[in-house]
Amino acid sequence: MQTISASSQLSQSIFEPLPIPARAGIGLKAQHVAEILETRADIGFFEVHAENYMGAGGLPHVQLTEIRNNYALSVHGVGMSIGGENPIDKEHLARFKAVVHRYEPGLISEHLAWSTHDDVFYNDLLPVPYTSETLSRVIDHVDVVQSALGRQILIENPSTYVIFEQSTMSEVDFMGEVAKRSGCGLLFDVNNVFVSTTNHGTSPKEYIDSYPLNLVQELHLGGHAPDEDDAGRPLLIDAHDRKIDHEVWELYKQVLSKTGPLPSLIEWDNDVPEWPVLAEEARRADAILGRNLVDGAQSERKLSHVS
Amino acid sequence: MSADNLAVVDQSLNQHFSRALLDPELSIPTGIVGPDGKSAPKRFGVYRNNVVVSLIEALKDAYPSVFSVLGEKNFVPTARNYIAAYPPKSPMMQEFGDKFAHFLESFSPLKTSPFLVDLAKAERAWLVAYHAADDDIIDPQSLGSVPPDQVMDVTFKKHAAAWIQASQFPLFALYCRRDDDSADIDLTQSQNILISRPGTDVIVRHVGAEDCLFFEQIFAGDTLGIAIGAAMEVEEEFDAANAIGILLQSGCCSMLLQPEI
Repeated sequence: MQTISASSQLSQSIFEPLPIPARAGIGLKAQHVAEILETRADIGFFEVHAENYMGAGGLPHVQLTEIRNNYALSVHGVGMSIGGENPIDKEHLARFKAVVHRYEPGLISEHLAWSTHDDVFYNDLLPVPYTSETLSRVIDHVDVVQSALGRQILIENPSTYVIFEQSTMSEVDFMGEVAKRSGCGLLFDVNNVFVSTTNHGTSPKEYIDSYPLNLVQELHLGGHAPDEDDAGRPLLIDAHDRKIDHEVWELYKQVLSKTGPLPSLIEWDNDVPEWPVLAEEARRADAILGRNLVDGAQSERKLSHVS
Repeated sequence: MSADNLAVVDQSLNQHFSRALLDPELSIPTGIVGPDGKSAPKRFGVYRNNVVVSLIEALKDAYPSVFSVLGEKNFVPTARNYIAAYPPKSPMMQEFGDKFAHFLESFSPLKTSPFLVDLAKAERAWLVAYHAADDDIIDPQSLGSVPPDQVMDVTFKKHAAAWIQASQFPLFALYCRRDDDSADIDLTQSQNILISRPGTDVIVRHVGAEDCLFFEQIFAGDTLGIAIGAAMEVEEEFDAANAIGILLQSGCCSMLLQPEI
């Protein structure tokens, strides 16, 4: 039987570095690429999951090359298992590095989560307890990734459904320590904050007020699905399967009022709609970003879209 | 408690977490609670559901024709058994499902449907072709520049995306279920397929038994003369010109190799 092999050879990138503008971006889906290119969609940037571009060749790379020729690109990993007990998978890291090298993304990000244990990949972003041991491990793993890439990465705050009794520090403090001690930046997922604080009965406003927002370089926005927990309390699922909730838009405005404009990604990964629905969500984020622009950032924003 | 002891506790927690994800009979790890500090099985169930449902969906995406044949009712339990037997070993989800055909061979509830094994192999080959390296494609005119007395001695290098598969079942019709599930399929027919990817689109062709043998020989590195001879043994009327036409124009080979003189 044939196997799918990843391209591991690092040829010279054909792309010059292109920073991500402080505009709305959209998580790229293969089914939208033709329409995006044909209509020359006015989108600040696109973001892709690195794992979808680790094959050797074919249509995915042709599509992403065309996108990268016309737009700024951010690469987001979902399988590095930064929070895992096992050492970082060197093979996976080499594949990740090949994607980064090939496409020269403006930003690179991963999650505070684990997905691999022993040799099984669970295809989900699983939670970590906030202890000093996990903190040391995460810092080591971020260091391994950043050293291999020769670049800073951003780490995203998780959406969680459970609390670990053994946790000894808050998520906010944990994220701050990871960034301070590893030198990574932060990706702030506003929907994850709303999902997690609702699920754990805490205040999203207090979470945002205490977060080290000065280290945040990118925001994520997405939809969540409502459910209930064992005791009938609200339990939100980070489903990325619908429009962004009104309360998440309000939190987004709150964050921007503190940070100023930042690259803001619309994530929609399940029940993916037609392109115009996604483009409308991006327009909404752009409109909010425009209201938060300060001192000449407007002209910089216009120039930053490559057409 | 020393750091070493804490690490042991942490290790057992994560070990337990991962085992409980794929085994709903296992109790949830201790220390996993809701906001009231009480054990929260339903909350842990969100992770179980995320993992299993996402893997079932991934298998559906990789095997749309098998899914079409089996339907949701039969596919889901088959997928659950597959996931338990062969959980993903790589964060590259396109790798997941690579042992599905092998699994189906011995999955007793489906032993009366052996055609599913061939179909799963074909769908896997489609996915491999989709992601295959961008090898060169031979120039369709390349054979014309070979001296006539050497033509039967040339060999070809198979393109990374190319795949030939003989089947005693109507493999082409079964494969086409992914696009059209309304057609009746006569399971007594035998159909073989040739897969190639001349550009970005994966092409699946229905080829006859003698053509199938011809491409098997070519892909194994035999000379054009040996491949034609093998096909003629099966079918005296073998249309060599037609088979050579497909060989040169389908993009299934990356290189033509002339014998060293």
